[in-house]
Amino acid sequence: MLDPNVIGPLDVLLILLVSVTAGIIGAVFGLGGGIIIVPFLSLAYPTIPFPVVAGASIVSVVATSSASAATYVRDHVTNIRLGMFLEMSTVAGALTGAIVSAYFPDKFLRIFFGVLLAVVATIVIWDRKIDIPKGVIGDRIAQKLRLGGQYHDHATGEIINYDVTRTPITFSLSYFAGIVSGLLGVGGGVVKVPAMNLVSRVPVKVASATSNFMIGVTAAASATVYLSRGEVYPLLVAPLMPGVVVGATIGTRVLHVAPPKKVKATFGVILIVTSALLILRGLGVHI
Amino acid sequence: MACLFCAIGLALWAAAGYPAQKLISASNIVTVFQLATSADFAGIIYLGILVLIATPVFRVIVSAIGFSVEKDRQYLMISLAVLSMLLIGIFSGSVA
Repeated sequence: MLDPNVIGPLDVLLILLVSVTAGIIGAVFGLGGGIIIVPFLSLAYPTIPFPVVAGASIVSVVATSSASAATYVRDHVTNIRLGMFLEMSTVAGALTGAIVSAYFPDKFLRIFFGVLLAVVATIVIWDRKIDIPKGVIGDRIAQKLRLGGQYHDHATGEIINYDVTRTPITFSLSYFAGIVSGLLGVGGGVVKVPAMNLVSRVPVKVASATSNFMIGVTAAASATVYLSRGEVYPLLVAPLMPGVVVGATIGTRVLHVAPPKKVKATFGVILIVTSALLILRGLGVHI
Repeated sequence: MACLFCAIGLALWAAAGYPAQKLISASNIVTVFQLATSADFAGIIYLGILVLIATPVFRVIVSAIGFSVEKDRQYLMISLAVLSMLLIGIFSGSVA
């Protein structure tokens, strides 16, 4: 176990600054702060066990989601029924991930996070066209549970009706999203949004709002496991959590512009380099 | 609000001359309250974290109540299933 004295006043200040930056960058690129803060901490402080980094990050994920979810629900874009339905498998996955994280060596968790980062980088670089799926017919489960819905699109002023298809696949992917979240200390929106949008053909706006609504509950489930294992370090959380929240707020409210393609590509490359560093570190190579 | 707890905790930490943090199994709510009421900086931060984690749990409870008011049996059951998993997470820790 790590000596809790390892964190001094200067570290707290540094973590605060990095967390604010992580929150801003995350919000601008539509990612959670966890995706940036976890690799930074595990590369900058290799002596801190990975679950401790994940534990601090997951607390900040709860905070970011709580801060943003309230506005989304009022917006009537969030599909609460769909969210609650998928939450059954995601929360189960989050508990699984958080519990098994204690049994995996840090090496493995760093490599796994590196792989996740590579996937995120691909999503960031690959500029998807935002389309609204048409002519989708809900499957049996979706009809029985009335998962479809409608929302008011502010950009076009239209009321958009949508339905949900291939529900069992998305339900299973949600379990996987929960595992990723609980194991690595991230929100897991990286898995949930494409699952809802690409597999179940839910409009991307609804998918991301619903994912945000779900993330708080998912992260709270994992956080309880980390808390009870004593892996949530107050001195790590105290600068990290407020930092990410403030950063994310600045990112969404002040910088309300989509980053240009070149910036996205550069960021993608940075993510790939970080991913490679994490994987190498996991394999025991130090650069 | 949880951020406020963190700020107070950090201020206390600085005031006390940056002592080492006490690590506890924070799902034990009694211990957290004891620490927090003794103005221990870690206790205050832990309390903030617990308040924060309670927020989404509370939101699930509110949805469950909403569904039961709407007499939506299906979704009442679904939200209760989610809630029970959250409670398993909370209580499994304090037992172990």
